[in-house]
This record gives sequence, C-alpha cells and structure tokens, in this order.
Amino acid sequence: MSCEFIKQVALYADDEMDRADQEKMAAHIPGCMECTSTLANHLDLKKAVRVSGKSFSAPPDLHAAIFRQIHQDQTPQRQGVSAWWKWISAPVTAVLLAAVVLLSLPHTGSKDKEDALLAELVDQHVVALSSANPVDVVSETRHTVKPWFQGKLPYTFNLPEVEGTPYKLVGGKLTYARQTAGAELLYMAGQHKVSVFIYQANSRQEKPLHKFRELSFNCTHWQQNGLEFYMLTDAQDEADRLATMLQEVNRS
Amino acid sequence: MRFALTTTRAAGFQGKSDDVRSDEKFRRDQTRMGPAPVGFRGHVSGLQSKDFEKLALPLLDPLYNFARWLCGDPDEARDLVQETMTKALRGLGSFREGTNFRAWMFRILRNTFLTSRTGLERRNTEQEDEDGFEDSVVTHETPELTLIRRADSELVQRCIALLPANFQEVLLLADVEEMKYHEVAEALDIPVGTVMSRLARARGKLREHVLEMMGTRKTQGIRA
Repeated sequence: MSCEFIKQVALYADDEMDRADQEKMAAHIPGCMECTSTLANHLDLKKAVRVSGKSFSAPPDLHAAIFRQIHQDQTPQRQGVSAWWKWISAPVTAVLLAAVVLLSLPHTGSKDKEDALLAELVDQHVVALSSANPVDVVSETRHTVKPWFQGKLPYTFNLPEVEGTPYKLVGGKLTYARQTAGAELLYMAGQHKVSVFIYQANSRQEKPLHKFRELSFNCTHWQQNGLEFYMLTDAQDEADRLATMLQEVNRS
Repeated sequence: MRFALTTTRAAGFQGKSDDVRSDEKFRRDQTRMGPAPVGFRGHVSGLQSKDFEKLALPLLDPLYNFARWLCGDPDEARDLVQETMTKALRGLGSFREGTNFRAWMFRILRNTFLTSRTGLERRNTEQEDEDGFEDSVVTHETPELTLIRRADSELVQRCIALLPANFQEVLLLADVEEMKYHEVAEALDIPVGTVMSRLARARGKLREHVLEMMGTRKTQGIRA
C-alpha cells in the first residue's frame, strides 16, 4: 500500500511546498522507505536534467552583437513635455546641436578611434570570459607570465605580486587591437575575471586612472611610462586595487 | 533565418500572440508574480535601457541554451535570441514594476519561436495531451530507477531531445533554469496546474527513455 505522502514528494523535491508542509515532509521522510526512495529518484533525475540540459552557451560574437544592439537601441524617451516646450524645443535643439557639433569637431576623430579600440577590447574580454582556454601562458606566477612576452612585444612591463591579495593571476596571451600587438593578462578577483590590456602608448604623456563604463563593463584606463593600460571587468570596485598595484609597479 | 511575425497560432498550443506589446494579460497578472528582479529599480513608466542591460545580459546564456533546445540549430537559435532582444527592447516602455523579468524574456523568446516556421512545424507535429498531475506521480519505484544515477550526460541529452516539445520546454525551465512553477507558468502562459502535470509527465517519459536506452546499451554490451 502506498504512503499517503508519496504524491507530495515531487513538490518537496521541487521546493514548492509551504513551510509548514515542508517541515511535516522533512520529519516524515527519514522514517518512510518508500518516500525516501522516491525522493532520491526525483533528485537523481532533476540533477541529471540540470547537468545535461545546460548544454549550450551563447557564442562570444553573439554576446558582442547583443551588447551593441542594446546600446544602439538606447533612445532617450521624454514624457510629459509641456506645450510651450514643444514650440520652442525645435529651434533650441537646433542651436544646441550646432554648438555641440562645432565644439566637438576637432576631437571627433580621436573619440571615434577610442570608441573603436574599446569595442575591440570589450570583444576580447568577452572572448576571455567565455573561452575554455582564455590564455596562452597559464601560470599564477608573475615570474613565468612576464618572461613569456619577451621577444613577442617591443616593450616590457611589470606585474605586481598578488599573493596575499584578493587577486589571482590566471595567465596571459598576445593580443591585437588597432593592428598592434599587446599583452592581455587575465586575473581573478573573487569569482570575477579581470582582463588587463597593455599596449604601447602613442605619446609619453602620463594619464591618471580614469574609471568609466563601457557596454556594462567597468573599465579603468591610465597611461604611464609610454604604456597604455586598460582594465576591463564586470566586478564593481573589487578590481580597483589591482589597477593601483599595476600602476605602482610600472612607475619609472 | 529570420523570425517573421505572423498571427498564426500553433494548433493545440496554449501560447498567445507573439508580439510583446499585445501581452496585456501577462502584465495585468504581474502583481501576483513575487518580488521584482534583482537590480530592478522600479520605474513605473517602464524599464530604462541601462537597467535592461544589467538584467538581460546575464540571461543571454540561459536564453541561448533554451533557444538551442527549441530550434535544434545554432544559427536559428542565434537569430531567435537576437529577435527576442529586439522585441524586449521595443517593449521596454511598457514594462511594469513587479514584472518577473526572467519569465518575461523567456516568454518573448518562446512566443517568437512559435511564430517561426520551425516552431509552427514542431508544435503541429509534437503535441501531447497531459493527464492529471496526481495520476502521473510516481507512486512506486523499481530497482532500475537507480540506473539513472549512472546514465551519462550525452544519453540524458538524447532522451531530453526525444521528449515532445511541450514536455521538453517545461522540463528545461523547471530543472535547468530552476524556475519555480509560477515562473514556468508565466513564461509559457499556462496555468500552474498544467505546469505540474506536464512536468510530472515529462519526467515520467524521460525516465522511461533513459531506462530504455540504458537497457538497450546493456544488451548491446552483452552481445558484443
């Protein structure tokens, strides 16, 4: 004869019972072989489906395409605009637009280039996030990773000691942006991956740490000693110290 | 392939129109859907695109996985996810506080799939009626059931693929995406009771397929 609780086992396994019933079931199951066995079967099957059903990951280029799609679709929406503003908005907007265009003309080229570079770096970071082999040199030791770049890049850089900090070096690889070779270092900050890109700068000008958001990622940029650094991560502030550490070890 | 919008509804399927803007019933029902999604800031007049980005991007892999199972083809799955994002972005202004964002996104994806040629073909050929939930509960177990523990991932994948579409999707949402029954109900636009019934039937069928395949493999192994 079947146990009266047997029909509730699926609900219990799916965590769909209210607290009182859940407690009643939890007290009953250990003493009932039929319910224990049925619960084990339910949990085995659920686990098998969870593992086997999660079979596919979005390809990296789809990630990048969706980022762009979201940003292209960003159109400001105005609501509740009063009637007088509707009348004067067109000429005011035209004048403002003309002023903005005139003021921004000398900088348009470099801004476009910077945006294009950032788009490339974000793509590479996304590839690192989704790849099973995100780096070419796999090592937690800076003394292994840094020498790996010797002869591959026409410049060198220093990596900080991360032992005893919340960061872990995963490795590095050669990367290309703007048709120029650069270094990509991959770190872990807790569960977050952090990509650090190091390229030769176009000038010797020093630029301080500058944090901003790009396609939902937190980016940090600075320039020192003829090198340009970009740090990309989805972590919030956890990676800030890593940027400072990199900056310190690369001071002249 | 592109997922062209049509007004055709697959026979026997309980889904609604594909267009997110026409889902008024869905929005009216949101008040009973539980807490707002993580990161949602509660814009009464609609979701802002920066919030959308935070909420939608983590769903990209789950949506693609679901799309891949539905379509069975990587290119179609890719198009389906992109089309879903386009529709969701278009519907942002009408998004209401309290809406379960994840269920909303899966619902758009699934409705979009249903209006694609593959979706229509599949729904018309692979529907299965559900029995009552209680009738389909496993009320006894056999020693063979322990074989499931030994089934490898590839075999279980093949068995999931053998399930009728309406069973497959409920199983994927409940056990892979770990949605609660009410979330699955919202995503598929079916009553919670139907979710429970389909889920029980889907698991029963899956169990049968796994045991059958493992039995076949065992026999082949002995013959070899």
